Amino acid sequence: MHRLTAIELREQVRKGERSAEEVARYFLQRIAQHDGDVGAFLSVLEERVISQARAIDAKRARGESLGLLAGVPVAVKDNMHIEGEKTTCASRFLDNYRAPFWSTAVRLLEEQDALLIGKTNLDEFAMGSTTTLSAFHPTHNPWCLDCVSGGSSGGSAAAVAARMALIATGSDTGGSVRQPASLCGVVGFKPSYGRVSRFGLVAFGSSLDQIGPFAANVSDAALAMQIMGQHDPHDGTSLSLPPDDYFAHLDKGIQGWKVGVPWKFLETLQDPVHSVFKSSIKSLESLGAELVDIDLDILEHSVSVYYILAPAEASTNLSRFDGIRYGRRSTEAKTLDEVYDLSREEGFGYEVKKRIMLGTFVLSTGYQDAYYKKAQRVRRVVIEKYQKAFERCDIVAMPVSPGVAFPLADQCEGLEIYLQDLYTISCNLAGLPGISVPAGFSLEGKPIGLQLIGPQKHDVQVTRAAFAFEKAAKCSDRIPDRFQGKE
Amino acid sequence: MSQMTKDLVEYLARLCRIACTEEEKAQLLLDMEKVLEHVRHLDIVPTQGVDECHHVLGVVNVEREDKVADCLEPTALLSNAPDTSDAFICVPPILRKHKS
Repeated sequence: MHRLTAIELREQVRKGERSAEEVARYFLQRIAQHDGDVGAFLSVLEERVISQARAIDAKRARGESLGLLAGVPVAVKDNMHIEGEKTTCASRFLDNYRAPFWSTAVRLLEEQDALLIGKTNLDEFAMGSTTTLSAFHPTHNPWCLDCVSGGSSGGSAAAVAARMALIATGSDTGGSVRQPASLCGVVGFKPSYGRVSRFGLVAFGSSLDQIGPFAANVSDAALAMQIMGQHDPHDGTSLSLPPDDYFAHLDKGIQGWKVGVPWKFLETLQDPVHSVFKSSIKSLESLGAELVDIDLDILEHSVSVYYILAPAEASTNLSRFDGIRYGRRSTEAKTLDEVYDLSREEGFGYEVKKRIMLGTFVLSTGYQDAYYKKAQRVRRVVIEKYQKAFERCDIVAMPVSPGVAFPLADQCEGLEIYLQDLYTISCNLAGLPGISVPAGFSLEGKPIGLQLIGPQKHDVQVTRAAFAFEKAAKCSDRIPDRFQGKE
Repeated sequence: MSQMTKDLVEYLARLCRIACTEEEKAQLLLDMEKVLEHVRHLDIVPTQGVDECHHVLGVVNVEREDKVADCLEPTALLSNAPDTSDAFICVPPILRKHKS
């Protein structure tokens, strides 16, 4: 059952060939069997998902039509709310927090009869690229259990890679869906800014955050986007546009399209990513696309822009965690001031503290012009360079990450990790849609993705190109040997 | 030239309301300076006449009429508070008592 696509499984449930309860129990069993090795989940919603599955089966028995995700197991990154369930953000600060309301994007999935099976691991407050900065445990890469899964949505990526869920949600602020998707050999999509509601997503960088799906293939990811990509009056940055139709032209191919490649920006790319990228570009040409060299040299500064703006926004967003209304309150605090200072000291991990401090610094008097306002101007230049590039091409192709999944024991941190985001960050700075599609493997068998980026609000263009590439590359829908299992 | 100093780290910790340990402050001093050394390279990017980007989509604030609508139940909102009394959240004293 875990080898089916989400769409195939949905059809079986809709036709009554399988019950939703059978599906729920099957994937709960897979989690029980495999998650000890992977660590994808922070909580498994066993009672809830069985109850939900029985409700879906009862609907079908009454002759009611079932939703677009009927019986499909979906994992939810643990920075998005399911009402009544814990949302920890992988932080000690919120280890006892229960959501009083729904994340709109997740509610939309459940309304389509998805089985919300569990909350997945992440780097604390979505700040990281390895899912080793969770306060609870790291997530291991299903393709190489000694290696990182990428981050910050590493738990969701790993859950789909090991087929403990068929779809998962992630949040992408600087690459946190696309990068773990590449490292875990699954599809990960970051929509245009504003395409998916951020209501109920614990905010990290509000001008950068977007919720996006993981899936084993582009069609399943497109299905999740079809459901989640709706205007939401609860989110003031939500696009006031009708939902995109991802399936209307999904299989129309890219014959005659122009694919922009920023070759000069990619000069430092090394193997194995370099050789997989070159062969991916050849695949795009074989599909009838024409390559165009584009100037995106500005992107060499995108890490600098991001690591000024994202911490600045985080320092504001995380000021709500003060020990007063929710979350950890230090038992040592004797005064109100100590509630703030000690609760935050005890509740936040080091990386979170560092980013809050950096953000406070770049926003402070005397430094704001040199850092924050300068970064905002360079952000404008990034946006304009992309706009110019898209006058000459329909889609931009880039690697996702400079490397493959590295050993957990390597303990890379700080700036070295930040530079891993080089190819993904600019998408968030410019609010563009971007996708990671499995494109190949290193000699050691570690996955490598191809990134396709489209103009703002042209999300269906991205999924169409990704669908075509996926058919040529034939690297989607693969399962690591250890998790193949039997039906 | 290093911009981060011990005093600056102490000041930022107070602004952030985080009671960092001495060990953390020493590490933050080094780590933050490494990041700042890298991001300072933005100086070389010409941005004369370029506006700051305040919103990636270029949208502007809109207004609407006030509407009375259902909101979340107070009990739900208070359910995560560490210490409550009826509809109030209890907190320690704002000021220490002074011994006379």
